[in-house]
Amino acid sequence: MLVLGVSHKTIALDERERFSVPKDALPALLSSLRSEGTIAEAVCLSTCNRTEFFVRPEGVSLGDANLGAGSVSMQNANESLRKALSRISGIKNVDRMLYQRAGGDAIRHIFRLAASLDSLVVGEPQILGQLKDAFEAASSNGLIGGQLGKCIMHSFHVAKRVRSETRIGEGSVSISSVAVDLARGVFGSLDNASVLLVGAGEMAEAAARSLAKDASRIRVCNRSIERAAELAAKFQGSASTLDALEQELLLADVVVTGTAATHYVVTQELAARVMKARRGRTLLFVDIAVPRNVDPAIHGINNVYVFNIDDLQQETERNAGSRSRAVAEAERIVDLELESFMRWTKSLHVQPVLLAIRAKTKAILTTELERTLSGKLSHLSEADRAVLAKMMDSATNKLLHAPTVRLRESSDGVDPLQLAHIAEQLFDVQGVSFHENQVRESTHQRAHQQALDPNDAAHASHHHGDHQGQKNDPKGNLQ
Amino acid sequence: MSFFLVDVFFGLAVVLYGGLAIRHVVFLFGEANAPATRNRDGVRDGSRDGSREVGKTADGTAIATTRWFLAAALIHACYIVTGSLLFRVCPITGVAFPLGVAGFSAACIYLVARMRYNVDALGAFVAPLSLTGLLASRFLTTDTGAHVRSTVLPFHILASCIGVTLFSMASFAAVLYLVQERRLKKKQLQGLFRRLPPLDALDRVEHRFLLWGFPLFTIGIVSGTLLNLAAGDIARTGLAYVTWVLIAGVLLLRAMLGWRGKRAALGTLAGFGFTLLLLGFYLLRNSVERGG
Repeated sequence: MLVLGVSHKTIALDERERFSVPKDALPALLSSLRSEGTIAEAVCLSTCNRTEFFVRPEGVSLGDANLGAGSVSMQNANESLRKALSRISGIKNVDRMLYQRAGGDAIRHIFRLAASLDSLVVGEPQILGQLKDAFEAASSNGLIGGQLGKCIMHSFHVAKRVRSETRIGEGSVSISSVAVDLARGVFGSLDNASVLLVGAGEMAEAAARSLAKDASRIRVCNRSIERAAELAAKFQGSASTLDALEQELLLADVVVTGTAATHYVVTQELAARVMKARRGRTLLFVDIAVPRNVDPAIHGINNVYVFNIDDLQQETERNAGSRSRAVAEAERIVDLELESFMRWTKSLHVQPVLLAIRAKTKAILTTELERTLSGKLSHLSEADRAVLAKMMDSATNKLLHAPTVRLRESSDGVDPLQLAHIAEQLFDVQGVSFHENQVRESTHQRAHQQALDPNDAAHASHHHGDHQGQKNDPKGNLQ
Repeated sequence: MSFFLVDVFFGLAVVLYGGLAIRHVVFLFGEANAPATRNRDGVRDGSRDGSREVGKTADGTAIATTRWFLAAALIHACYIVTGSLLFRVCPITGVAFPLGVAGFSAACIYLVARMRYNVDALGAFVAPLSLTGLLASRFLTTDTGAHVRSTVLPFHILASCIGVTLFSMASFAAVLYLVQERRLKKKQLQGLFRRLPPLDALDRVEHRFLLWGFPLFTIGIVSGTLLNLAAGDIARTGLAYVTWVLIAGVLLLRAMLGWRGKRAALGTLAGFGFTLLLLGFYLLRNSVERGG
């Protein structure tokens, strides 16, 4: 398991916005990742605060919690993701900006992220919806399998548990509420203020919901008039297209921008023209879009104030302190859930052995039953034979129930590979785990490369070794 | 007994203004980490942190402050009235009582402004201003206005007095505006920003004070021109007109070209600078004349 990406914790907004992946570009990105053959499962989460990939590299099981970032499969997946992030951002060397988590750390990261513990605004609810959207996108592109899928699904459960068992959501300062507070700081009462929403996405709607409580007028300006009208109707506001933006800016006091545009929707020239026509009336921009919609240089114009997502961070951090107890409780839940999930991932090692044991047992019993039915019990009717077959299945289940449970449970704290081997030997089955194959092959490749060129072995194995190995990998062995 | 009553009013007014001044200064600078936010009326509110009680307390404090200010202004008025009766002088002539009237009018203007605008923090300026006026009227001069004979003079003093008070309040609003504007431009949304009045309210109240003060100041300098020309005081008249032109310019530029915010605040401060010069000139001249 590997997590690689950028977030509000690693880079500032002006760099972060370059990594933003528009919704419509996501399928192509996921397809290109899949075509590289280094990644078995992947989710790409791109929000205003982060662009992250959660991936299960080809040939790596989720149960390989201890498989660090140094393994060949991990390195290949890592390389693919770095290239992808480099392509998205147009930045050649993205290494200094990225952070990565591998194995159990990666799973913990996903759980914390879903529980809104890694958010800019700790406790905000939007991240769960965004993660679900990312999951859906990956799923519809065929990049979700039984392992990463299970991990993401479990993160939803963690998020729900954290939200219901702690007070992390209470009093959380969402970006929308900070925008409202900022607007009050500038205008005092918003009773006579006119609020303009540029863009009609989820964030704009959330902001409108907060502002609608106070503001007298809500106007929505959007690329699509239908969506603008739909949102405006919810707040008894008016709608217009982006063509009317300049006229709308003349009437507004607070402007919340949240379009998916990759360029500035409000340029410095436009703002200068508008301010001249407004005769200096104060104008507040709250730019919640990433990439930004409002040219930051506009902040230099008299009586115009531009605040973006990062500017609001100190405000939200102020609130974080008052909920440190809830955060500590949430972290404890994440730890417990991680422990439980890791137990499940470890059981993945014994899963093929268990399947092999079950198959072998069933095969032996079926053979013996058929032999008996064709001999001494050949007079039995079809109905009786069916009853006998059912009895055999039931006996198999009862017989293997205890070993199955013991193997799964005892895998906790014990080297799962070792346990799988012991079970294989005891029952004389071939359930060799995929992990072992992978490790064996990567070791072989490294040895081979070292024999060829001892100085460049690491580099060579990084770029070529695992591709060779993958041809022979029993893909999906553990799925 | 009458003198004692005047002293009681004086003492009570001093204590109340002093207490209010300390309360406002502590409010502005003494609660660096207080989780203050604004509610829909711009009053400090902690409700966003899940504590409705904090919000109620903040509202309660604001109401209590208004009541104390009202009490201080009423006692101040009692002091002026009883003092005037005792000394048998009109309170708007001479130097002593007008200083007290200026302090009293500052408190009244503040109370009126608070009814309409979220400008609680102006109290940090108004309370010391009223206190200074009160103390000055008692200790700075012994002039009781007995030398005044002109009928124009009371109008001149009253109009100038309230006009200058309004300008001084406008200039304090301008200072607060510049502080708020600077914090917003630097994106510092914590601390003082949360305790000062909203930016737009400061701009509007500053404009209102200038608008209210300008006609009074105009009456003051027109009446002053008549008095000064009679007295041959050309320099003071000239300085008064420069001040008038400056403040008229600030109002005109705002109305014609939309010079609001920072430009208007700087213009107001420049105008008030000249008003202070004028006031200093007047006090200096007066004390020289008294000394002579």
